Amino acid sequence: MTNDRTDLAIHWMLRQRAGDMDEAEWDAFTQWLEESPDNAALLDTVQAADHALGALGDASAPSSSSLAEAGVADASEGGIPMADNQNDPDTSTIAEPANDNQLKRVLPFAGLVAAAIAVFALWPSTPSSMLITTEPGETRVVAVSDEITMTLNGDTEVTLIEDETRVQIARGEVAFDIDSEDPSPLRVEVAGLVLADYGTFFNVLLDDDSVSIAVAEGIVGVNPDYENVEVEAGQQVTQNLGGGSLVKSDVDPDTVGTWQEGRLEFDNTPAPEAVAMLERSLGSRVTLAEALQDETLTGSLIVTENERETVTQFAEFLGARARRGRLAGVGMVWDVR
Amino acid sequence: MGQTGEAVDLGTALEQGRDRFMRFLVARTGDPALAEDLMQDARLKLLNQPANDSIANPVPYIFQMLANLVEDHRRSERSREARGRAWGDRGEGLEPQRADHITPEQSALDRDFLKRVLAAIDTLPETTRTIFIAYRVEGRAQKQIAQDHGLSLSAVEKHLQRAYRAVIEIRQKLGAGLK
Repeated sequence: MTNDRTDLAIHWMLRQRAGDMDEAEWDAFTQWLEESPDNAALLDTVQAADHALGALGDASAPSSSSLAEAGVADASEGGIPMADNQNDPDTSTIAEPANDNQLKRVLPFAGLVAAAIAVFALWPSTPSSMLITTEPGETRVVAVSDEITMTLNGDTEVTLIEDETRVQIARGEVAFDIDSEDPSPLRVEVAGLVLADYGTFFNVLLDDDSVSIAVAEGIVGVNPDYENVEVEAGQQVTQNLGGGSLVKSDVDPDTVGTWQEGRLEFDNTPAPEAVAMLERSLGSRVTLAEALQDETLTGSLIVTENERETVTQFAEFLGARARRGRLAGVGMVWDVR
Repeated sequence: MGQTGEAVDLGTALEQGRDRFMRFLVARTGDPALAEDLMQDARLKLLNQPANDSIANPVPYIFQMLANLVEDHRRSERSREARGRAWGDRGEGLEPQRADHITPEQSALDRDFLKRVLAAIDTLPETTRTIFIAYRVEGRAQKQIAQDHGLSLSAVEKHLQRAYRAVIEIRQKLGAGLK
């Protein structure tokens, strides 16, 4: 019985949304509302649930554009501003473990998840561009086209401009896998660089100080329209964000983008950088003792569901120990000392 | 207003159908005073709107506008409430939030809700899931979806009802902390 009434409320939400009701149907709508005051309340509930689906952005209904076409004035008073605080590092580090599990269960449909969240986030301003973000500990696979797949590591933010196959990386780490013999239309924009690809698997990491591009297969062209620095498989280039030129170095292609499989490769990696890598995969904050800041570490770390095990192993690379700690303003952290 | 041909002036249509529109607004809001306010909003909106000859049938147009006004009013009520709650939770001694600012707590709640919804959608039968995504994510009209799937409009509606019931259930479980 309740189901039937809810279904009727959903019916009227959908009908109102469609924007093609005639006079008689509006009168029928009024009549249904007059049958019981509960009906209007139920309709409020249904519409509220629908709005909440758009909670990451302006909760515009899908067909408000069709209303606009029909000449119906958009009645929204300013709407809800985009929840840009999802990018706030202070909030994104406090990831509820339960939510993470939830998300991992959804991950087989990661493409769908990404599409859904991104579309919600940007409705209705620019339907062709999607903002995609991940929280620490979360990875997400997005099919850019039939041939191009990108995988976002944790704590990452990218904008995908679909029509032009452009990806702008604002923060974090993204691995690109391009399954094509020909140069792809993909353009990656990161820290003022433009990357073009020629049938490739490559990884882009943008952290606080630098941007680096490591290539496992094929060739990546940096700034193809002018200097066109070519980075081949087994090479990586790094540039400081403060300025300076691109520095090329060798990289083991087998270690590029292994975070996708939960494996972190350290090769004389400075400890703070390694901690940043770990945090991205872990979903918890990790603090490093002052005495360890200048250390480097080498080794291969498997990130498992068991955080304690993972962090303990990490600490062992540094000859240190890991324990649960508490950090003001953050909450529980792993303390490596 | 530059009124031409048969096009009816919207303001005039609003006055002519006043009783009928008020009846709708009162039933929709359950609040005669609010209904009166929204009626006034509509009047002002129509006054500021350039004449539009392409609106052949002003009555459905005005109904639509009023229904949208109610929906938007409810929405801003809810965000105000949600903000008030989050503000109360944050304790004293903090700068007041900008009026349109969404607190981190609110944003976390919204994300939690969305994650749950996405998980729930995954458990729906495939056709239901596909149709819901087409409608709510891709913004396709029910008519288009019906054509794509070779279904009747009411069959499409049944799938959407099922999906929306799941969404409503999640929202009710999570309580009123959501916009």
